[in-house]
Amino acid sequence: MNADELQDLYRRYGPAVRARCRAMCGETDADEALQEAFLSAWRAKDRFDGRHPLAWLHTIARNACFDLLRRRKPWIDDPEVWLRLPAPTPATGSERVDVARMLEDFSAEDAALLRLRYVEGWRIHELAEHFETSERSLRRSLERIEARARAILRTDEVSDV
Amino acid sequence: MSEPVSRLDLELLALGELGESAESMLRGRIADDPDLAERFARIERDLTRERELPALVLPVEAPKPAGFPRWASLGGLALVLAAAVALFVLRPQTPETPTYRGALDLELVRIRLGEPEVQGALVKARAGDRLQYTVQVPESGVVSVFDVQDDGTVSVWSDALPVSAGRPAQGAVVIDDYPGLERVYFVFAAERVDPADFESALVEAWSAPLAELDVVPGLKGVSQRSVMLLEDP
Repeated sequence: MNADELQDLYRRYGPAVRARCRAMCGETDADEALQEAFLSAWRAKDRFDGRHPLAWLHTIARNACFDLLRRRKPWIDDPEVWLRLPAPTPATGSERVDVARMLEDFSAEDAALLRLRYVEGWRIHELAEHFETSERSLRRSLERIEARARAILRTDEVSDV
Repeated sequence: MSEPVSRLDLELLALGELGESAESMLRGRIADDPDLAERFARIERDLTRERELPALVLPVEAPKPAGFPRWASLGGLALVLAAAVALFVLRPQTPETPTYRGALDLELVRIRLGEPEVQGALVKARAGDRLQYTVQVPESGVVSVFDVQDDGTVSVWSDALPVSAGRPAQGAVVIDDYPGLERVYFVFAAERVDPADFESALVEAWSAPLAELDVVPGLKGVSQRSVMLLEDP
């Protein structure tokens, strides 16, 4: 693949790749994730067999998003996803702070998963496809993260008493 | 019960990239399934929203420098080693001072807001800038890239980059918000250089009474270059 061919892939599939980058990373970081994804694709061009280019690009973009999320942890300042989590109590001001602190302990993969699920409204089978795992495994991951979130919220409630 | 339709297929349909028969079948399912129709409509909206993309800047298309700036010499300055490694007390002299070392061709391009700018041995960058590097070497091997901050922190700057003899290879790093000076070492060897080996060689280099810092002399069998990175306010 030469540079013109990659630019052609960018024109054809860039919108779909950016849409996923935005879904995972948020609007602020979407352009950077998109650029990183296509730079990675450029570096990996010799390993691309020419089949299913969009699936190939999505895989690269997913990893680019993970890298970016690990570096920046943007979800800490944007707890929209967490306020949509099924929480045991309504989120008060003080709990929001605690939730923000809690976010620091989550991995980039957890954050991306929760954002896609609760902000973007992706179906379980779509998430399983995106993360290249089984639906069963995906459900377990969601349950684990939700349980952890609830446990932390409960702990905070107790400590507030 | 039919298999759920994958998001990838819906995206390909929205992009007009599905084959005729697959498209016909999928459109039939969408017509019969309001939930699927809603999913497809949302994907179409998403793709419409993303129609205006920023330009893709690939390293190979970046402008080439007329010649890679020669290394600033750091020689002649006495280095006082304290307990902390005060790495960047030394400043490079003007880029015209010739001190070529090693056999590693290196080009650096800083991308800021989509605008490429060729950089020399003294790179001015700020958080969020992308620094793309192109290396070319006469033999096949691996280029390892290490970053040394002026607080003494040594880190692997980016993944080791496999290179083929005589063929340019590109990598890129997004600059973080570290406010101090940094020196970035590009080290070519037959195999990836272990970060621990690099760090110990660096410490040894700093122990020398008249250390020159643009290469790490203790690394054997490597070609290397380094650049100074400072914050561009």
